[in-house]
Amino acid sequence: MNSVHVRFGGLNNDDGLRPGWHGRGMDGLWALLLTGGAVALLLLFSKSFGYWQYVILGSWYVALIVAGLYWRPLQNVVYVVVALSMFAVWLYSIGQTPANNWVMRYVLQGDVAALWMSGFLLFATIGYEVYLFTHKSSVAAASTAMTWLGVVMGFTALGVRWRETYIGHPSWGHIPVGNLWEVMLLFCASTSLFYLFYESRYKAKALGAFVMPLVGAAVLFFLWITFAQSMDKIQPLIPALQSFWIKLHVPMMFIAYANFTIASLVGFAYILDGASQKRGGRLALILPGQPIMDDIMYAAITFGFLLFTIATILGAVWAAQAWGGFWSWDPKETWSLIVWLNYAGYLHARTVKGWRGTNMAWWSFLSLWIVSFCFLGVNLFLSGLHSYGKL
Amino acid sequence: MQKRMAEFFVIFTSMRFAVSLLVLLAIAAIIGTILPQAQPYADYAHQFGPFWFTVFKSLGLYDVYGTPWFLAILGILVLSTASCLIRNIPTRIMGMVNIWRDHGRDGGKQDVYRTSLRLADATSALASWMTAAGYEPRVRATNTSASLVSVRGRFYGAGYILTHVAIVIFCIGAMYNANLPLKWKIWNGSIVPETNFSEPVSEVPRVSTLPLDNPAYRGNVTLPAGDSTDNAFVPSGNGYLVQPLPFVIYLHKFDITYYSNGMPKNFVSDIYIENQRGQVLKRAVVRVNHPLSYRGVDIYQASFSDGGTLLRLDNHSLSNPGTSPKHVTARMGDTLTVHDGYQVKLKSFSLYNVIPAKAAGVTASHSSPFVDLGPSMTYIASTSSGQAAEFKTFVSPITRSGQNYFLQGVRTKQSQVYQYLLIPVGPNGGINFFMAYLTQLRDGTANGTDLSMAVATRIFKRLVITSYPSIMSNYQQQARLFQATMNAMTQLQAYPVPFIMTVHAYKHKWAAGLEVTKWPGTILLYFGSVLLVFGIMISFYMPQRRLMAKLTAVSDGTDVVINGHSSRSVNNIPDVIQSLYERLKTEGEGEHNE
Repeated sequence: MNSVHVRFGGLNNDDGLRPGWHGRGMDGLWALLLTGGAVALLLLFSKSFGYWQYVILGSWYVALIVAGLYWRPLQNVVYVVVALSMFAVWLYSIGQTPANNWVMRYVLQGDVAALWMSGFLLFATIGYEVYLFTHKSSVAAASTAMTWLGVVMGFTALGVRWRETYIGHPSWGHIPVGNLWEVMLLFCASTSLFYLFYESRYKAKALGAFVMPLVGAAVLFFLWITFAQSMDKIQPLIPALQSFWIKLHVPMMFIAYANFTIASLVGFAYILDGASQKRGGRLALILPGQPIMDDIMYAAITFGFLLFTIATILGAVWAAQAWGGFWSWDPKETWSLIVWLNYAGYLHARTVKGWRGTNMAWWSFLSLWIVSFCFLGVNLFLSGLHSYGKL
Repeated sequence: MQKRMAEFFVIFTSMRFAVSLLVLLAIAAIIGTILPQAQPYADYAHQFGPFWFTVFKSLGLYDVYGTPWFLAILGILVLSTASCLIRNIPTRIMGMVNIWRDHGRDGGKQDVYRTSLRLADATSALASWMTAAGYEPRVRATNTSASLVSVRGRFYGAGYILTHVAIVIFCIGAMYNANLPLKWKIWNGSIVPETNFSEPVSEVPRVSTLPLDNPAYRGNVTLPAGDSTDNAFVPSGNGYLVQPLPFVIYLHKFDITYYSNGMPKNFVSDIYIENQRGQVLKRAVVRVNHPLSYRGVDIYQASFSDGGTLLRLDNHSLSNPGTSPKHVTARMGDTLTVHDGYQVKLKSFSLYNVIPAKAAGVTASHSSPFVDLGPSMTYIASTSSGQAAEFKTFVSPITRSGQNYFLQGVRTKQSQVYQYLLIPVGPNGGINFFMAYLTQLRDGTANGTDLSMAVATRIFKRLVITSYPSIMSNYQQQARLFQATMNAMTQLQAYPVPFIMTVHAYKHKWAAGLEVTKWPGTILLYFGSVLLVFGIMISFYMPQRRLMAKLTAVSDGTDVVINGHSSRSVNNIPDVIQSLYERLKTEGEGEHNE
């Protein structure tokens, strides 16, 4: 293990780490409200809870508390998303539907909220590109704000849709990660959210010009499957997906995908930064510097790798229940193994061999193809047990 | 010789070797995802042609994950990782137990700086500077030397051990799952897969039967409702092996529940576990995601099929429409000879056909946009020359703008969608009216009369007057029926066979596809999973950083070596080391100057 000479510059870890009295109060409120929410869920639904529902609720509770304390802006996102979703659920419960309520029709209805998200994220993408060329910090601030709005509307769309799956046909109800439309929505929202985390942690707004175009492309794909394929129609879950495992396995996978995606595009920024430095270009001036980008790549890949590992294990345990074996060498399983091996190799090269620099950035960047194939390609081109995301 | 062995061991346990194996494994795995695995050999032969079929077969590409070479890669990987572990565990553990151990390879180049400070002064000065920099050291000193060590993330090495032990466990699990002893027996010929799929279990030879106490297997069995079995079938190569079960499974009932849009909601098998004397040991409902575990054997709901639905079929001859339909009684799956020169294979039977009302062309009820067209049967009619067509016949008629029709789907290729023939239902039900009209039309034109609209109308009217007086006064119904009959006549021209088969009555029966597995390694895999996750967490989030100084007293002062490392990429250890050396320089010289 080599120590590498890296300057500790520009890294500002202040937000969320050393809270003042105000921050501590907010943290207390966060813990209090989450605990209240968890207790309310228990009181409302514990009759229909099995053993595993407690595990899922507990996992989400702990994960959210820790994440909110670690990165305080998350608290506000959760407040706003929960408030908007609950408002929509309440409107539905008193008979206000998209047909007779304009707020529902134009804002809060699940697929409309998803369109709002799409719009915000596309604008944010354009904004970040403008920032990259104009270096105007006001443009960057506006793009960040747009991304925040997109994240809020995306998760609100998921929350409202969760309720909507039950409306009209209670037996259809499911957590909205059951088809390609729903997971693309989750992917866009969660990748943007994690991007915002890295942006605020590392004060690296210019990276948006690299990460957000991919989110923008995902949004365009999402819009295409919405309008050309009508995949936003609510459908019930096939028997194999009717399991509590879906609530852990799928969201975890998407948090992993989000982090791998970010790491890959930061790798791309790193490569261009190197080229720009050689030619004395303007790009290197606005990017946060290679050590920071190297650190973001490593942080995103390690976090993604951890969640990918856990999610794959949970998937194997689920497969053992649904299909009778932990591992069936189904194409999705095989490709997720390849993704895992790829990043295991990356991490070995970095920690054991001490590799750094442009080569590792290339590795991270090119890994996006493997990840995308595992996420989308397998469903689009290969058939197997995971064939529910088909077009 | 010993030196060679040692060199081999070093290469074998090296990371480069393991990574090469992993790359090989990944490539092999990709092949398995591109080529669908474990299909019937006939499909592969059809797809690749005889030459490539044989080449791919000898490479084992139809079951990549079970081929000897794939398992060999896994095996070598286990050995390599395990020996790497054995080589490294002692140092890692020593590193955790004894923080004073000097990792020679940690520091890279070792700068020796000679300060004029005496050993004791240098030690205390360095200790205070290190503390000020956030690296509070532990000190161990003798008269001639001192060591200062500051370690955080002492158990970082455990991450390495846990993750790599987990990998070994997984690979062993995978090899066990691949049933190596059985593979060996098949390879040396003491077990031979049976390839005759129509043979009753009792006649399967002993060489194709696995022992009752087989430690691990993954078999499946198709069980019609009301039947029982004490065997499962383990697919193997181009055939299967019989795995006797320690109990009898009786399928009491199989049921599919549906959502309102026709998608299946659940597949439910109601089964009894019995002993050989018929005594019920356990009764359970097995559905997707909810297997039954009994004495180490797990039973899963895997698939379903027709369990031999009993059918009464009417076969109407088109070449001789005047004859009354032939009645045939058959079970689903049978092959019939209902018409000269044609073999009819009954393929499948579905109880429900829920489709969007729009697609069916019928008016939807206001409660649901879907309609159920009721039960249907598919069959394949083929000639001895190999021409074949597939048919889908609906049991009950559908109604379209006031006229009832029998639906008969036809396609000549599996890849095509069905073309539907709509045969009008006559006033007395059934397609007898249509067949009678065909007969009269044939008789009426037999003497050379051209088939004109006038002739067609005249024959239609005559048929209504002579045989169906009930609709004589209903001109609207007559007009609809006539129009429908004419349309059907047009559609018939593209109809590929000279007969139409309809379902007169049926008694439906399901068969449940159950997967029966025995896999005692579960707990081992859970253990491996936990190790892996904890190992990764330690490796990533309990990073080690280590700063150490070694001081040796010399005649005119002290030799100081400072080194350190961090498993984090962004760290200030190099800066701290540099600043420590600089302070030594300045303060040391200051001392000297006094």
